[in-house]
Parts: sequence; structure tokens; C-alpha cells
Amino acid sequence: MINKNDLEVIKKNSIGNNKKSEYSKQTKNISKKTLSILLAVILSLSITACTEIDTTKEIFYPYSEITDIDYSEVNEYINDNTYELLMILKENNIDLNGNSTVEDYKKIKELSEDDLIVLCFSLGTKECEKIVQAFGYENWDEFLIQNNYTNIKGKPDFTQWQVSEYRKINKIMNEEKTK
Amino acid sequence: MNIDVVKIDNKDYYIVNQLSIDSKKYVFLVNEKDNKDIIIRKIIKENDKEFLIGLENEKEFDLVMKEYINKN
Repeated sequence: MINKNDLEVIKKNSIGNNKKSEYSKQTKNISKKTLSILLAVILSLSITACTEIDTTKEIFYPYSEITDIDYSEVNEYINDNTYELLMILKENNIDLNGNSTVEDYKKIKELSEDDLIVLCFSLGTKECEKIVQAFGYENWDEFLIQNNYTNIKGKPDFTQWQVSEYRKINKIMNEEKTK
Repeated sequence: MNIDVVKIDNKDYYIVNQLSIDSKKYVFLVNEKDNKDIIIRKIIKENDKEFLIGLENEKEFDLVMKEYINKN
């Protein structure tokens, strides 16, 4: 997991380096294990940043106050399921760089709303909104409202959905352990 | 599974995320050999060529992280 100190190092290494490097991309093939590690990095960076970046504190749900979620299990679940889901997308000719349409996603029969939380981490919420639309919702807001993830003012609350999904994942993982 | 890689100071970094804020583009990079070595770089264009440079200050870092959280 990326902790507060790691985030400070990331900040230090990201700021003030004026040395230019040519942005010349190459493509490399990575293993399932490497993909899992990278997804864990993305997940833990996001969680740590939520609690540590001052500018987000007013906007985002205070993750630090949620003590019942085991994030390492969330990590494990997302890692275990991402590869399979990305393979389904690839087999259905989805362009993982974001050039596919809602219509392309509609053709995939193997996806369900339960897969959204995992797909959000691998594709990002913007691309995932196409999948939400493929499920028949107008956008993320309509998905959240229809599924009762709203704040006290009745506005859609994305983080409430995320936290709820994390709790579901914890439950699934606990059930698997007791089998 | 394929992933884009970019070379910085002779080290290969995986491009794990790319985002745009007010027409500026940023990339999140993870060192191929050390997954704790994470850096954010801004993409700039000069003479039709793209380059990566560091962020200007803490304010820009926070802005990028806020957008990153929004996206993820």
C-alpha cells in the first residue's frame, strides 16, 4: 500500500524537475502479475490521496473515518478480477484506450453492474460511464440515483456507491474464507 | 496485455494513467523495476514534438491529484 510518506515522495519527485524527456512511447507486454501490481498501485494511490490531499477534504467522503473496510482485501479482489474482465473486453473488440462507444459495450453479454467497481479502477470512471449507459442509464448520476446512492440533499453520491461496493467485496471475501 | 512505456533518465516507466486539465495533459508513471517509484509528469509540445516535464508547484500537484481521484 502507498502510505502518507510515499505520497510525499511522489510529490517531491513530481515537482520542480524542469529537465525535459522526450515523450516517446513504446508498447510492452506485461504479465497478469504485473498488471495486478499496477492496479494495486492505482487503487492505493487513490485511497491515500483521498485522505491526504488537503484540497479534496471538503469534496470527498472522509475515507479516514471509515474504519470497517479492509482495503487490502478490496485490493486483492480487484486484482483477481481485473484481468478476466479486461480479457472479456478485448475478446469483444473493445479498445482499451477509450475509443469504443456505448454501442460497442452494449454488445457484451458477460458484464453485469457488479463488475463496475472493478472496471472503474482499470478503465477510469469516464470510460466506465459508457458501460453504465450500455446498462440503460443516462449517465453515472442516473445510475447513482436509481440505486439510492444519494446524499442528504438527494444529490447523487459516487463515493457512497464506492464505499458500499468495498463493503460488498469485504463480505464476499469473508464468505469465501469461511467456505 | 500491452501497456505503454516511456523512458526517463534511462529508466522505463509504465504509463498507468493519463488525464487532462484545462487543455494541459498529465501522465502518471510507475517505474518498471520499482513500483514505489511513481512520478507525475506534464506533457508539453515544442516544435511539434512532445516532452515530459515536472510539475510547477504543490498547487499543481494537488490539482492533478484531485482530478486523479475524481477519475478513479
